[in-house]
Amino acid sequence: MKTRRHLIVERASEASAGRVRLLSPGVGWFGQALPKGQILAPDANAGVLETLGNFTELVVPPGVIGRIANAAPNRYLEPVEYGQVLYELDAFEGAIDAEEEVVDEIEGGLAVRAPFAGRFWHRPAPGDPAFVEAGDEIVTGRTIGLLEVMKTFSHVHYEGAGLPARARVVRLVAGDGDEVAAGDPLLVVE
Amino acid sequence: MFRRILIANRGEVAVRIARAARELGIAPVGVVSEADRDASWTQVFDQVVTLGPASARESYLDGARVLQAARQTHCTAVHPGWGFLAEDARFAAQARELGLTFVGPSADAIARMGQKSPAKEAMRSVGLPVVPGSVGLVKDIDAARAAAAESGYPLLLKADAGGGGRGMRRCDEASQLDEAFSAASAEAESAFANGDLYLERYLTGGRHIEVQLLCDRFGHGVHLFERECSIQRRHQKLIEEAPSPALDDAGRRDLGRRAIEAALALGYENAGTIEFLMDPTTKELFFMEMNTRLQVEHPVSELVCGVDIAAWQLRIAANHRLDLRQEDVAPKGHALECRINAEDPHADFRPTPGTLERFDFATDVGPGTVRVDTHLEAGDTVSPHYDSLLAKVIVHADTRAAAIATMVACLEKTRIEGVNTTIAVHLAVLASNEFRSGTYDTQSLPGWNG
Repeated sequence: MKTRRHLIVERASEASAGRVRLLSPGVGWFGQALPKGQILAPDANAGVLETLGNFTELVVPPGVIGRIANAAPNRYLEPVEYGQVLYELDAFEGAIDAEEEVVDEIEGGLAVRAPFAGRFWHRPAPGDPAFVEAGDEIVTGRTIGLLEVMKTFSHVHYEGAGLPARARVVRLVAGDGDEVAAGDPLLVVE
Repeated sequence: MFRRILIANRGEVAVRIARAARELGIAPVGVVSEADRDASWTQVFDQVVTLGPASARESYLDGARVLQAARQTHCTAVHPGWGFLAEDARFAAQARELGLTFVGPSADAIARMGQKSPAKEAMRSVGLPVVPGSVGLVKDIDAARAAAAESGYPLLLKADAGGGGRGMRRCDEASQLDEAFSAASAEAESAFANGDLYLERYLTGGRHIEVQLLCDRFGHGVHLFERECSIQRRHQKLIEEAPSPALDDAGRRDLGRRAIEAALALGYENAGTIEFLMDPTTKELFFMEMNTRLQVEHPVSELVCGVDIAAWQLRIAANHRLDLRQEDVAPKGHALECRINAEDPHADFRPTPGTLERFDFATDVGPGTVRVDTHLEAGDTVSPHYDSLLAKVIVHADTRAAAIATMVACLEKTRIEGVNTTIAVHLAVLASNEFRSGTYDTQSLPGWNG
C-alpha cells in the first residue's frame, strides 16, 4: 500500500539563492523524480521514496508553486536522507505567498508563558481530562499543564509577574504535545 | 570482520562503539536526528545519515529509517548501543531478515528478557532465585490489587518493557496503589510505547549488584564479575563500582558462576548483564532483570578485568570465538564510575540544557588512572531533546580507597561551565561515611540532602 506524504518546504532564503526548496521527509531511495523545468503545484506527485520496501508518494504541499530548477538525480533510485534537498524551485507567475501563519498569540488577554523549554502537555495522561480548559477560573498555583524535558515531567503552575491571582482562561495557545521555548505563551487569560 | 557498521544511536555510546569499531578496522556509519546533525561528535563517523526531526520517535526510535539507512550506506551490521532500539526484539529480527548482523543476542532472547515476568520465569527455570511478586503482568488496577495482596507492601510497579527507572513507581501502602499504577502505566506508555506493568515486593535498603557476561555463538561464555550500582536517585544510577564492597571473593565467584551458567543454559549470546538485588537482611541475591545489551557502566568492568567489552561484542557478532577462559579473568584493583549529568541538583535535578562554555576534565591526577567517556567538548550544545549525560568519569586504582581518592581529585579539579552539573552530588556521596565504608544501599544518596 502506498502512503502519501508532503515534502518539507524550506522557504526562500539567502542560502538557497532566493529559491524555495522541497526536502525529503524521510530516509530511503528517491525515485520517479520530476525533470528540470517542470512546474510543481500543490498536491502534485513529485516522486516516490522507498523505505524498506514501503513506497511513499511525495506530494507538493499547499502554498508551493514553482518551476524545478535542478536536474533530477542520474540514478533511477537515489539514496536520500531526511531533510535532503530534492527540488529547488524558481518563482513562477502566480506563486502564492505562503508565509502568513503568524498570529498575535497574546491577543485577547494576558499571556501565561513557559518557564523553560520543553514539550507542553495539556493532560496528566492520555485520555485524562485537561488540567485547564477555555472558560476555567484559575488561581495562582493551579497546575495548567506538564512540561517534558528529556522524559522528565514537571508541573507548570499558573504564576508570573503581572498576572492576577484569579483569572479566566480565554484559550490555550500551545497545543497538546507542542514543543515550546522558554517564554513562549502557553495560555491566554483575562 | 565487518567493513562498515551502522551505529543506531547517538552521543556518548555512539562515540564509544565507533572507537571500538575503528580499533577493529571497521568503518563506523552514524545516524542522527536533525537536532544532532551539526554536533561535533558526528565527526567520528565515516558517513552520517539524517533520519528525521528531533523527536526520537521519528528518528532514533524509527527502526525502518535506521535499517534503510544501513542498507543505503552498504553497512552489513547494526550496533544498537543502549536505550532507543537496543532492546527492541522486532528491530533485531527485522535487521536479520534484511541480511544485516544485529550486534547483540537473538530477537527471541531480547523479547523474553525484555518482558520482565517471562524473564523471571526463565531465570527461575535455570536456577536463579527471584523476588516475590506478581506472576506475569498486572493488566489493570484490579489485577494490581490482587498481586499486591500477595507480595505485600512496600512494592514496586515496573514497566514490563522498562529500563533506566522509567515507568517505575514505589508504593508504600494500598491507598497509593491507584495513583502509582496510572502514573507508571502512562510513563511506560510514553517512554516505551508499552504500558504493561508488573509488580514485586520492594526490598527496602537492598543493594543492586549486576554481573557482566560475554557469550560467543558457540556456547562458550565468561563472566566479568560484578558491578555494584546501588548509588541511585529515583532508580537512575549515579555511581557504579567494581568489585562490590558487599561481596567477598568466594561470594563474587559464586554469583558470577551462577549468572554465566544461567545465561548459557538459556542459549544467550553476545554481551549481557544480569541484575540482582541483595536482600538487606538475609543478604540473599535475587534475580531482577537481564539487560540484553551493552550497559552505560560497562567501563568499570573493562578496567578491572582488562577486557574491551564493546570490541568483543563486535567480534562475537562476526562469529569469532571468545578466546577468554574464566580462569584467565581476574579482577584487578578497583574501578569507580561517576555519571556526570547536565542537571541542577538544587532544583530537583531538572535537566539544564545549554552551551558548554568550559569542559575540562582533570585526568592528570593520582594515585589511580582516569578515563573520561564523552561525546562533548567545549563549545558544544547540550540538546534538550535527549538524555542529560555529559560524560562518564571512570577511575581505576589498586584499592577502593585509592580509587575514591582519584575520583575526588579529578572531580574537584574538573571545570564545566555553561550548564549545571551533578558533580557536587558525586563529591558529597564520595565524601560520605556510608560510601567510604561501602555500607550504602539503593534507598538514599548518602551525603546528599538536596
